[in-house]
Amino acid sequence: MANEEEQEGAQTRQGGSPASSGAAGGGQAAEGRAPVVAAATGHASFWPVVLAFAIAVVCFGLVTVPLVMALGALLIVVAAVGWGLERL
Amino acid sequence: MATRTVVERPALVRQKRFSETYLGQWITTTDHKKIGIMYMVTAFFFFVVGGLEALLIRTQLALPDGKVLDPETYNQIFTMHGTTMIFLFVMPMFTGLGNYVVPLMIGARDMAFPRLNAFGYWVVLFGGLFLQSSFLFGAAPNGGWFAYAPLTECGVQGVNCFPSTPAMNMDFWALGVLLLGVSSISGALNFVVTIFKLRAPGMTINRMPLFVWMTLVTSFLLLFALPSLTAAAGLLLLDRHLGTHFYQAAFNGDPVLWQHLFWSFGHPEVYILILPAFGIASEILPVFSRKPIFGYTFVAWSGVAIGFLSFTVWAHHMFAVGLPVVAQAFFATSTTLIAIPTAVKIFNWLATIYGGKLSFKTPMLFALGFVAMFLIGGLNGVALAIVPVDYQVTDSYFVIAHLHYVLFGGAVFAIFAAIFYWFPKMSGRMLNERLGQLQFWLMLIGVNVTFFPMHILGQLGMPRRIYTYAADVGWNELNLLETIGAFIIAVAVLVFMVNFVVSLRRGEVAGADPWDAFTLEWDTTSPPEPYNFKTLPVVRSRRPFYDKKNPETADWKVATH
Repeated sequence: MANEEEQEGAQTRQGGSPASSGAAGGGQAAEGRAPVVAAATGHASFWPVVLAFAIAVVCFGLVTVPLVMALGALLIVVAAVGWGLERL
Repeated sequence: MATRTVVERPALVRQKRFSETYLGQWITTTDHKKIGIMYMVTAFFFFVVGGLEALLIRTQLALPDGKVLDPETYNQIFTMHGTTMIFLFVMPMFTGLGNYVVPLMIGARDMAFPRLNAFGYWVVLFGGLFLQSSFLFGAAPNGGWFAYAPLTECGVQGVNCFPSTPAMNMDFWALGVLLLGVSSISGALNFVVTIFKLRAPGMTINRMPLFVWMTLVTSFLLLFALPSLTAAAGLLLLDRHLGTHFYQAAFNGDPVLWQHLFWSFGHPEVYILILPAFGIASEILPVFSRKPIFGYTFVAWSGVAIGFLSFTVWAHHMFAVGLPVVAQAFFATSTTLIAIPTAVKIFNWLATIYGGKLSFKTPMLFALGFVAMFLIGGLNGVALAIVPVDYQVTDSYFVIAHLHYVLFGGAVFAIFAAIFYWFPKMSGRMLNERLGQLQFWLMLIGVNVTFFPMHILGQLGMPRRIYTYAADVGWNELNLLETIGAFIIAVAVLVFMVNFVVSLRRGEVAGADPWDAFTLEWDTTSPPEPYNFKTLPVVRSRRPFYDKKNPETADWKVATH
């Protein structure tokens, strides 16, 4: 059942024809089925805020002390790797 | 009758993850709607910061021989006013509006790259805080928002240059705009891909809402213009700290190079600041005239024409630097030419409202005010395109009048129109109509009282960026009048803030479609569900929601597009 719902959610996300009838988790919808929310919406992630913060730290380090810049650069690497390896 | 056995499952209890807490939801969100709201709230905060800076400027200039601020602080305040308003208010506000509305308008579930979207917002926030933190160091940028070399050339070392701006003030500026450019580029890329790849079935390019069109053109402008600024700011940093001489005439560099590089960004930038406003007007005027937009194709493609032409006019900011006459003639011509597609839009808007069943609700008032104020700014802009006129008034208050009519009367009025129009969709509540009307009239009066006299002051010879003026040059009354106008605008903004806070809590419940509008974002709940649409819509015309509500007179039945 869960796989079926995920597939329908994915299909709906891709813009294909939505299922017009059938049970969805126990309920019946006359107009169409609501997509599985987790499949139809984005995945929460903290790497964007970490990467943005890291870049700002580098800039801050450029006007203050080089150590801050180095820490920011390290954080950029960590955030970039974390972002790239994040499972969606 | 079939029966079903309901099996009760035990409730699962576990500790909430951080991303499931209230704060965590906002910090880790990749939902375009939440990101859009964060962009807009942050942008409004910086609008207030920039506005307070404007009030300080006007207070300093209210009376002759003013001593409200010292000269160095004054330089920092006017520099930060311009920088904040452009990079931290108007650009993020339009990005936020686009973020919220564009996916809904095209029938998509989210932007193409949700995490990149979030990244763009957080860079704006941290970049803005970085720039504003310069005040804490007593080193806010002080070389003007366009940071002309050689004034901004020297860093702390003062190597081989006269230290006009010796401290780290302009380093904050250069790094700040570089950082904010990263945000703009990531946002622009996201919009381009989203608009090209995620439109609902049936929504061809020629059926897209005009706000989406203008957002697309703006995004291309950002992608092509920002590299110029990046190069300019990068070279400035090298000159300031690593002993290069790109902009130093004494060492075979060229200060005018700065101006070419900066304005190659700066002129497309002003269209980046106004094209979304054109899109907003093109959405609101038809709804409140109960007619489709007149000349959709002309409005859309004139925006594209403006986008292309915006790269051909940059040196009209440089008529007084000694360019060859033939170059001046070229840029004067191209600048006059770019007025044509802009005028096409204005005529199409007027034709849209002509014969319509007009409803003067607050969004409509601000949209009409936008058209009128932008028209004034456009007309004095065409005057500035004439080289001999520009020789007289360049770098004077005439130019300040022009830029504020197009940016405040233009962009800011459109922003408030958009806020009043889409606030019900975002919050599920209506903003108070009476307070909205009060705000509009105060703002209209304030804008004209503040900025119209600047035309006269400019022609009387008052230069821009001056710290104060003598009592006997004849500028006293107009400056005082402008200061009064600025405080009228401040009252209008306060009215808005009260309206916003009160309406968010106790405003009239809006429903999904309070304006009986035409486009897809109104075909969802207010506020929309996280997934936007239960089923993705199929589009058959330029007004898909109108078609759904009025199947007998649907556009696709009567029109060919």
